[in-house]
Amino acid sequence: MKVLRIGTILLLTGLILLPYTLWYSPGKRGSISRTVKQNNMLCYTVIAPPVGTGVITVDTHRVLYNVTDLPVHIEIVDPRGRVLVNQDTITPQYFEVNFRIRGVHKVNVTNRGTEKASIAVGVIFEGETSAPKDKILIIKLSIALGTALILADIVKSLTRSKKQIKQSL
Amino acid sequence: MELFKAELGKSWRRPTLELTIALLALIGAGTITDDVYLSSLDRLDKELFRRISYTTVVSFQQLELLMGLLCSILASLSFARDYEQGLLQTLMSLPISRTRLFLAKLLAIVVPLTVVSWVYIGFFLGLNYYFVPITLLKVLLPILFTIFVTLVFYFGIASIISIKIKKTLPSVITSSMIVMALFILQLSSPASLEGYITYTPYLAPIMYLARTFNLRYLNVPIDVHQPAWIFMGLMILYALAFTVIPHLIFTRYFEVRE
Repeated sequence: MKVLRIGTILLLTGLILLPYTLWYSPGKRGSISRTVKQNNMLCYTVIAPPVGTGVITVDTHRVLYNVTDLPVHIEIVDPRGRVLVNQDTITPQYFEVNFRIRGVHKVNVTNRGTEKASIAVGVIFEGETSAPKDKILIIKLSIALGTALILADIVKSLTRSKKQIKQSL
Repeated sequence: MELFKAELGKSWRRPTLELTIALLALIGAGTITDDVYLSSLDRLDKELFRRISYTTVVSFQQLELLMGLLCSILASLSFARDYEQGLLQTLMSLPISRTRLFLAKLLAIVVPLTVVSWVYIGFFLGLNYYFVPITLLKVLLPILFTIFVTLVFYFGIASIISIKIKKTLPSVITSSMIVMALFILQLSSPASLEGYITYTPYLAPIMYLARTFNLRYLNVPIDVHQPAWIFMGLMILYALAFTVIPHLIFTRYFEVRE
């Protein structure tokens, strides 16, 4: 009885959450800009669901300081601390990043130019993205476990009723 | 304890719990979006806390009507249906005080509904923010308290009605309509009354949470400068008043006709 109820609850939860998660697509783009002084480093953070490949862009914000082609050092670190990008480059620049884990991706930008500049870091999802992998996994587990528990209860009750029939015969 | 267990089994028998969970999942899941966002590292903790608390309060706001309706329906069934079926008369003939019976009914409905609602809000938030468990807990603890106090209030309203009417269907309809009226009142109030509407039982919990988390941009009149403890006091006052009144009616004036 309890097994059947737990199974039903898990199955219902999984089935209700499934369309919400499958129809999800991440926002097309977002960006943030901050002023970074010469030879200073600023750590930007990107929080994204694990939906696949996206593009992290690094550019200067020309309205505040008219700086173009700024030499910068970029380091992109994923939530597990693995360094994905570590290189000197000139803005504007973009990097393909595979968002595989939910959490804080750090983008460390060092201004290697000769004057302070407003550096903008952005994220763009333009290609095909998938539903967040972690959520899909939890939902699949919920559906599978719910189905297994319901089936187990059905088998159990069938076996019991068979036994009862045999005993009555 | 035995009484509580019996009430628990009776109130939450199949398919009540399953339906409650399905409805909570249906409404709650839609409120939690999976955003991509950027921040500088020094503002990350603040930004995360703001986002999590905002999503939590919006979820609570969306679920409050459903929780109120469920609680009032279950409370109406617990008193009026038991009376119609003669179960209440049997229970009252046993050597159990009416206060214990009232408390057993209250806890058997409010505690599971609080836990289920809280777990579901936590589960939906957890799916998005499991990488910051401490921040998540900081937000979820005030929500647990708020849900409990709010549900005690809705239970109180429904129990007064069902104790007075003593008939299942009219009790369920009347108590549901009162919950709906409280909901509609905050939606369609004239602008001049917006400030006062925040003190009503429906909005006081939302205002308490908004003030606790220092949130703005909620779909409620926010031009109210009272601190969080005022709204917490109001919530507790409503809950206490609407528990003491039905308790008094039930223990002193409730007549049983065989």
